[in-house]
Amino acid sequence: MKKLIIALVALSSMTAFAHEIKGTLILKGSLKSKIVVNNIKTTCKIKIEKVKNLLEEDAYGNPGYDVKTNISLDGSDSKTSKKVKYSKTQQFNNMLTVNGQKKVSDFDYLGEDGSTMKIDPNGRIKKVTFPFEGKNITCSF
Amino acid sequence: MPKKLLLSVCASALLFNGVAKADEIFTTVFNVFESKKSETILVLSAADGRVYKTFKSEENLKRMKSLVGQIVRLDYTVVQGDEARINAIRPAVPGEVDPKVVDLNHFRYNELRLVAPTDFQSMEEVENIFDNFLNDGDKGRSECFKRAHIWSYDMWSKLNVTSEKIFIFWTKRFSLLEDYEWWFHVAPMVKVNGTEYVLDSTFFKKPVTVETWRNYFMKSDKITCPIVDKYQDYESHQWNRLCYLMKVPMHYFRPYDIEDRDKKGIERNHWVLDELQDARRSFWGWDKKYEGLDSGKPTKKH
Repeated sequence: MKKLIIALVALSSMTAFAHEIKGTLILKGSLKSKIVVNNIKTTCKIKIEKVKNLLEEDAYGNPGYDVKTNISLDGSDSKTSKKVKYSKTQQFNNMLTVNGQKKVSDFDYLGEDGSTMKIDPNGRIKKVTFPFEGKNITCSF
Repeated sequence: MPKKLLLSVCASALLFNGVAKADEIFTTVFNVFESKKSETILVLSAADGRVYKTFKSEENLKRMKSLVGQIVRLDYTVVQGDEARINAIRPAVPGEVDPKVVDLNHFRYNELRLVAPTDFQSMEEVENIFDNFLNDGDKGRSECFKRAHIWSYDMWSKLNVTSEKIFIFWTKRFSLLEDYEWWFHVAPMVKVNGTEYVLDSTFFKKPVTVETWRNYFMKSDKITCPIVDKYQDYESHQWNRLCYLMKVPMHYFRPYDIEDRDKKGIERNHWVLDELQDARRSFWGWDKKYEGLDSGKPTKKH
């Protein structure tokens, strides 16, 4: 009996290692939020332009997504005439490298320039962090 | 005898002796059908799937029809091409053939029937079969499952080759994001020294490995497509994979037949005439080449 329990525990822990994604599909469209950048009220806009399959799998057979995303900032201060302008389109994918191993994530995406994006189980964007003028800007939704 | 006639008789005799081959078979008469193309009656033999021909007359038709469903001994001669002419046909004498030992009806499910794919010794043999597949080169004319079915049937009935079918199923995720109109594709598959080769003459010029076949349709060599045994494995995992492969016996016609097997327990290791009747229309000249594969009922459309 003891042996059987050990075997079952070993089996269940082996199963726990298997990494299987749900394949959550990111929703297309755009989102806006208000943030302050360089003391200027700024609109942060994220637009998901195209979602494709990455046609590549991780070690567990999970296929990744490839997401064409535009990130933009638009703000100005009428008193100082300072402006915040930024617009960049880049590819994000959810094939992340974890401990030197490729692993597809359901909710985390990485952009070409190191930007990150987090989505929820419904495919809605929750947070995008990207480099702007030497610091990281985070837009939450 | 005039010299011309004598020469003609000699030439005919030589030709006949050169190509004619007499043989006999024990079989179940599965279908009898009057040819619309020639003055013959077509007899579909259920043991080997071959269509045997005999002369047309009301009396002969009545006799042939009386044999439908019966186990018979059929003596025949193969004449030019692969046309088999009936010399004699009679019900088998009790004890003459044991249906438990000899597989006499491949149009009926038989739980003892084994459908392991033929394992060839040389690639040349398989390439030869592939090169002789009927292929109109017209994908718009027919669907893959119909072409695959006739190729499988031809291999079995003409060459005694048992093939498998390999299905690739694309998930909703793949179809939606790649804007791909098909949800499955299928082709016959055989083995050569233990390695599986797909015979998909619509898309390839030679037999190819499963990997090559899969990569072609996935447009990537980085997608694995898990091989699954149950239709539900595909059906219930539409978002975390892009594709699945399923290997089934050659008799499975459509994906729905696999679904029926896995959900309702309806097994297939036999041919269904209505399906062959439908599938034969995939090819130009089907009405001549496959005239005997006709149940007499209207062709089903899928």
